[in-house]
Amino acid sequence: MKKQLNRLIDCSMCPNMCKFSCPVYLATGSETFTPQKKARLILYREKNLLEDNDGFFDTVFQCALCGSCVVNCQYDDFDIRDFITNERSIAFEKGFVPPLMEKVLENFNKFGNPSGERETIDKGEGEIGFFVSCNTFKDKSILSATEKILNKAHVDVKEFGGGDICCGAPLFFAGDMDGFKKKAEQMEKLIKEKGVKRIITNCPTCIKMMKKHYAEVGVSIGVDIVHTLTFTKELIDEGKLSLKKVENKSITYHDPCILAKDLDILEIPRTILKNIGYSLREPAYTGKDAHCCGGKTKVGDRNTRDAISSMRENELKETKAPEYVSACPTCKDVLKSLQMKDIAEIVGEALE
Amino acid sequence: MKVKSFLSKGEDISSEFIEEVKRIVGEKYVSKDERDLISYSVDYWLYGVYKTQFGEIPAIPSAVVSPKNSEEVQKVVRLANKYHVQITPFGGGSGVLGAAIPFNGSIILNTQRMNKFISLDEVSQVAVFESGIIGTNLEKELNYKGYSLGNIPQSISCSTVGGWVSTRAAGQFSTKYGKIEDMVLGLTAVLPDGEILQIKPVSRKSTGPSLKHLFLGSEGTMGIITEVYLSVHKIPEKVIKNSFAFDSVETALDMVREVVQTDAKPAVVRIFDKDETERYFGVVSNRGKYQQAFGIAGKILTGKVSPKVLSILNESKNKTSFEGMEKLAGKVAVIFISEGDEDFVSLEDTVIKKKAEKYNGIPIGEKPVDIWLSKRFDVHLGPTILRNGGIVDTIEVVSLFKDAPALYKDIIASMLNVKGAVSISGHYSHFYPESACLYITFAGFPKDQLKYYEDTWAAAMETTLHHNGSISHHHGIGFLRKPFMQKELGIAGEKLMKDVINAVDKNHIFNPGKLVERKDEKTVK
Repeated sequence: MKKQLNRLIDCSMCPNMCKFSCPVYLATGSETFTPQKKARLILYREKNLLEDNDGFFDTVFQCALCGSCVVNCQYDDFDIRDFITNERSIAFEKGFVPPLMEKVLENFNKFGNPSGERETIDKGEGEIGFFVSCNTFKDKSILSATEKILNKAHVDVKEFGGGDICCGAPLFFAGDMDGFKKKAEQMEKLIKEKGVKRIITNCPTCIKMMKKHYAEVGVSIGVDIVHTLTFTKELIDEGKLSLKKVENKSITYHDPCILAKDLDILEIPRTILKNIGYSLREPAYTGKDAHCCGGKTKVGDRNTRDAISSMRENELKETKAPEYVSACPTCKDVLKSLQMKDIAEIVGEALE
Repeated sequence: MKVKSFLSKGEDISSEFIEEVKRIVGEKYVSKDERDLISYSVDYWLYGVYKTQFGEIPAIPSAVVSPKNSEEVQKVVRLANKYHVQITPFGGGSGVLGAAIPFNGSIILNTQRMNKFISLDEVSQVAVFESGIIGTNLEKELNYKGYSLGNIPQSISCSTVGGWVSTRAAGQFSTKYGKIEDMVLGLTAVLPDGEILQIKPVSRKSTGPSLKHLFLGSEGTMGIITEVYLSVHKIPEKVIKNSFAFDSVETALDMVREVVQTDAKPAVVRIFDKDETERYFGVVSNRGKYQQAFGIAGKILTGKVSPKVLSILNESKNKTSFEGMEKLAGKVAVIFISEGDEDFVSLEDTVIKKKAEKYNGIPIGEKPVDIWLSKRFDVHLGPTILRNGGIVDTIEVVSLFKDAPALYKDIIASMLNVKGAVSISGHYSHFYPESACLYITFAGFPKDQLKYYEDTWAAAMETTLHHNGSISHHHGIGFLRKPFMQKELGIAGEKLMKDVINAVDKNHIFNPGKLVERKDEKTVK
């Protein structure tokens, strides 16, 4: 931890070499919201030099946790998001909840999920668990397209989700680490009960929570979890799926931040789209340089979140592509003005 | 505030002013919040940055105002005149001379909301940007359309185009594409009286003294730049990389001088002195061992620096070996990048190789160029040195070729002579047919950081002036170099500059304490 604190000090004295990539900075023009200035403010809070606690707490919620700063960091061994998350948990302990997160937390208290009352999904048998994330649960076209792919490839899956089953990401974003730990333990128990050997899901956030952040609260789901995109590619490579070719169609792929920056999945979606026959129209900011869509509850401030979404929409529109696709149900929802599809839907449409 | 300022404090400015500004830019874009006052308290003036880790900041602004366009800037400036409120413009905050530090309780005018790519005229190859766009994003937008500006400073990821214009900045590819003054065709600026000035974008005109040049290097004293018209070029079709080893800085300077005095215009030319050659390319030489024994390691033996310091400094050394590496041992490395039209680039390559041969340059190939390309934005060591009690900074000066060898020798010697000095090294990275820019990097681990910092800067400035050089090539003046401006410009020159600024900014609204001493101004020391 001392080494990480030293890196925080280094970060606070860096020329701000990552600021160009920070979507919060770009959407607001605020120097205060750049990673380097956040580092300085975190350092000052730790030294008890700040008087305006609410101002500080708001600052740590002015972050999309997208990892652009990490990709462009001068230090290979530093991730400021760990400090931001820690400060969010302190904010939560002191009763600071950004207005944007209030409703979500209320839903968690009542229904154990961010959306509200809903049915539980529990069907099928198999060694692979298909975890229907909260955002996939809401988007039936992604869900049915994924089910269609799995059926077509004759993959037996144990499908589960809905009800109060959630990875806990919104609690993590809000800084409610006790609540997050409980959801992690609930998920661990559920997955053990299911007895599956591998989990697939459409949501990059769920993957990151279960792979990285569960470990931070002492929880392990004990099995590997991959994106349905990766699984689909495996099915294609194994010859279990055959896809119809489209002709003279171009498309723009929006890289979800966790998928591209944290999980390093850049080529798989592009390869699948090319295999189907699409020509790709890349935006100016793409791959690891793609800006975040703004998300739903990662940023605590509605105006900032919406400004980020609007910025990303405009960047994508620059390609003038007739179709847009992503691999994250949240991105699809946030960028709905582009009639964005999920890659599962594109693959579903292309199935022979 | 518990966080203390050590140069200048914020002041209570009239609440009427704040309320009126809120009506112009919107409530959320006017802030007196602690977090904002801290965040805009310093740019990248390194002694100021060093102090921030202890909870000390150079200056506290009275408020931070973030307008979204020229019209809002105009209204804010007019109000500032009405209420006698001073304004410090803030671009990317990457300046190293303290030009964006808010002295005298001035407000910060943050330009970073004005960060849009406005248009590209592909017929004339002219692009228009708002002034608050960060360099990397400017390049990304242009590259996406097949173009480049070619201004690639080390700070490209954290500096704005408005900042480049305000400091007369230069980038790593300057020997071909020029410096920012060669790229700016026109601009929009809000003058100190609130008038909006638009300088139309043409390559040249004979319409009296160039107004454009009033703003190039004005460091926010004569106007707030809001839009910039830039000459851009197509992304080059051909790139050739060369590198050579020479016996000395003098020989390398002679070789490069002869290249740039032909019609050749290599985009990148860099001469690394022996220390930088060792550090950049990881060369271990007899000279390196000798110097280590009696240089830095010698200082360890005598207790002047700790083994920890040596280990920190060694962190920056290249760790990968490459073919030809041994030929750089004890030598001065020179790298070239030639780019553009294939025919011209091939011809330039021939010229470079002939001149290198004439001066017994040993060809090393592309690898050193690739190493430089991969490390050129790596600044990770600076903060680590500061955290460990060291002081690190860079100083760039310029002189005619005839004075360059003596200036190099004496500036290194004078800076090494300052108590606490550990490492002083230099490279040349901007060339003209007549002159070259010398860029010094210094690091010291003194007991008295401020004294070391001030004495080192004074040594470098005085030595440069002694050798007929100019005290800044492209970082600007800010407040740090201001005490040397009279010697730089002469009494008449400094008076003329003051008269011009005072005439343009009659009420002394813009950027107090910077560039030259203004009338009725308290000196910030």
